[in-house]
Amino acid sequence: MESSNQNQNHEHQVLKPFIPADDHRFQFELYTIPASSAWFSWDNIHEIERTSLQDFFNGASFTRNPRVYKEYRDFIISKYREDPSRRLTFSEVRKSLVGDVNYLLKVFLFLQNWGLINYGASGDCDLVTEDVDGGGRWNVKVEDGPPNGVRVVAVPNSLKPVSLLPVGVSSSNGPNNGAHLGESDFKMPPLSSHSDIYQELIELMCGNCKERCESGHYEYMKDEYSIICSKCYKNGSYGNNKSADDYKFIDHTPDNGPHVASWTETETLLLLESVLKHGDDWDLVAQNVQTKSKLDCISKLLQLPFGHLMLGSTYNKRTNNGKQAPSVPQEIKEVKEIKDSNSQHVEIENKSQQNGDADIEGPPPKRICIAPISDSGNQKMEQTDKDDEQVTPSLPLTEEIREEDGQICEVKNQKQLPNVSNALMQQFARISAVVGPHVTASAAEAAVTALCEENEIPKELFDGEENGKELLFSTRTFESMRTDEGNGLEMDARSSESEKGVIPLPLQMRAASATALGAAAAHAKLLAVEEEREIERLVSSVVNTQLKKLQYKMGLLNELEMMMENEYNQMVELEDSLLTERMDVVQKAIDGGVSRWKDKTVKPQEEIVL
Amino acid sequence: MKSNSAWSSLRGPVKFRIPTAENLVPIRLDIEIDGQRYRDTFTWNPSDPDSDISLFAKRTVKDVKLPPPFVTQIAQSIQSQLNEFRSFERQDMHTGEKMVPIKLDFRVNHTLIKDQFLWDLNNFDSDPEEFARIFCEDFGIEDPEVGPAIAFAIREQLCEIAIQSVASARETRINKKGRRGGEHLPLSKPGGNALDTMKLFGNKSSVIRKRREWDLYEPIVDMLSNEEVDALQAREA
Repeated sequence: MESSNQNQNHEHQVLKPFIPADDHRFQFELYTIPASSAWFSWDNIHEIERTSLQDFFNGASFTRNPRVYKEYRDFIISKYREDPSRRLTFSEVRKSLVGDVNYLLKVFLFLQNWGLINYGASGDCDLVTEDVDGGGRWNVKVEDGPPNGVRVVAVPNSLKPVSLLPVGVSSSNGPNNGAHLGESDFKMPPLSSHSDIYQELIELMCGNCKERCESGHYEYMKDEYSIICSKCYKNGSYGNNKSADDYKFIDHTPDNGPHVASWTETETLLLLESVLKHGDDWDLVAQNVQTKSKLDCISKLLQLPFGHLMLGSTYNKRTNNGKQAPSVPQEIKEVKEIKDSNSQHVEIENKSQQNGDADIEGPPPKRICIAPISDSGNQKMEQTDKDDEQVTPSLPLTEEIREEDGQICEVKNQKQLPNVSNALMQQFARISAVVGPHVTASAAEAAVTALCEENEIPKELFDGEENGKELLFSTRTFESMRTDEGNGLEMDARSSESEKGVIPLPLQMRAASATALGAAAAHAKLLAVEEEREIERLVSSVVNTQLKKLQYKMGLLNELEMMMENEYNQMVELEDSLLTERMDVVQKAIDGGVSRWKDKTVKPQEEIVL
Repeated sequence: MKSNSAWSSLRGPVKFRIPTAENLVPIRLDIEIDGQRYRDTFTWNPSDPDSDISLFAKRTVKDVKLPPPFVTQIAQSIQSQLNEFRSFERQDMHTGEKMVPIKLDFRVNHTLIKDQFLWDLNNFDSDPEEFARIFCEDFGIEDPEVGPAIAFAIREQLCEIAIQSVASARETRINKKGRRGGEHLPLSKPGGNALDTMKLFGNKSSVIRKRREWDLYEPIVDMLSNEEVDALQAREA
């Protein structure tokens, strides 16, 4: 019904190309156009139109003249006003107008830019004007496949394979490609030049299984283009007329240098053998390996997980002529000459502790006291005094004696086995000094206990020694030690040497080092505890600072909130005043007449009537 | 008729060119070598140096991964099309008051386009690309290949008509020599499909089309499904 009415209207328009202003329709209907387009009039052609669309007014062609323009203009505007809420498109208009589409487009865009059509119409009006301005004109569109205008297709029934290109490359094609090329199995490679970028990857495609060579590949040496992956190589699929010897392994994992990667197992074995044989005479080693240079050999050996061990052992072997003990004897040799009284004391202390541990089941404090005594003369005195205070009164004498025994025993041991590690002892002395007597004692106890657990002999050994010492050197040695630190002691020790049972050196060593380690661990623990406290303190200070910061921020936020509230109140007031103002305006608008399409409450029937 | 001759004399013959703002030659390639077929369409600026052609051919072959023999084929094809175009270049072209209908009827990927509109051969400001852009925008066509295809189709037809106009101009010259001052005859209309502009734009007729002709000039855009595209492709093959 409605459409037929409109059709009739159009027939009228064809007869009467422009609608006179006194048409009854316009007494009832209001159309909104921008104020800047107020020049528009159905009856006249304005100067703006003449200058903007000169083609219609310069008389260049009789197909374009003011009359034609006016017809175009009036038709387009009328067409738009059939339904002003809808955006009118050019494609819709041009089918109804005779004339060059380019000039039609000019008119159309002119009207649109001035808001005579598509003003306030729903849809992307803004976008359109933007486009006209040129802003959105050159949008870059990314195509995810080759354009289909460009095609490489196989002619049906062709016998030849279309391309030998690897599958991996063509996988980047858009999915719709396959649809277009349905008749052939061939998938087109991407048009875009990005394939250039991946050229290298493409080259590393296995010629056999068509998969990418991830870690390395074998290159056919006779021409450089045949490549197979290591998997195919292992499987023995070398391709036609080619053998395994023709292939050269090429590793292209980025981190490995070529010389490292190319060590074969036999070469490595050879290297190890010759290293064992020649030690670090790398010239000889390299000669033995033959295929590798001296530098290669060294770096390879270093890269082996046990490389440094090998080096160490060979070094020892050379200097010690095959002695079994690893690395320690070496040190001993070096330090042997530097022995002084201090180091003796250290040893003494150490041994005395061991002995004490071994024979006495008494409270640990006693033994603790002994340790620092031997460190230096003065200290020892103090410590013994303290010790006496700490230990139960019944024991002081024996305790001192025991301590004395220890010293003597140690001296003896020193004589017996000059290889005892002085350096180790020095270290231990330092450590125990730092840690404190209690800790050292516990560590020593633990060490000896562990040793005893290992086998029962040591315990008895320690005990036996203890007894012998006690018997032989009771008060005399004690006194002499008090008066004369080093020499007298040593002499005593020498005299007692022959009579005492021998504690095996390894045992002593083990006990000593275990004690040292224990003491060190204890000290470390102490340090750790301290550190922990420090950390705690720092953390708490950090937390406090953060808290202060947060509080400050909260204060600021509160302030802000106050400001916001004030503003909100002002806004409410403003809104009220605006509302009343709008009411006034609406009232006036109603008095003046209501726009048809802006007012959604108008019923469609009314339109038909109109 | 009098006014027509007046207009015609006012508008002398012009040198041959594509009647658009940019004088671009539409190039169409369809090359087949050893069972591989390469089809492409694009425009070429005839004032560009010819050395670009081989560069372009090489680049294209590399990008599309064609076998090397295509390079010379492509270059030759472009060159010959350019040469043909240039052979007309210094000749007169008699466009007169000609408005030709341009017909679009083709498929790009999934978009089927059917359209007909008028094109003024004297409008040397026309812009097929802009027209194509508005077209795609109006119909919400998102396929980026449709716009260029429309513009190319317009250019190709315009080029053809322009070449025919050269022949028409030659004919007119002969006519003039033969019977002095003779007007150019309606017979010489290029392709015989130029519209009678007199009739269309005469004082008595409106430029607003009759309703029954609307359908004829209404653009039709169809989106095809995959199956339909396959079927069409099979038929084309």
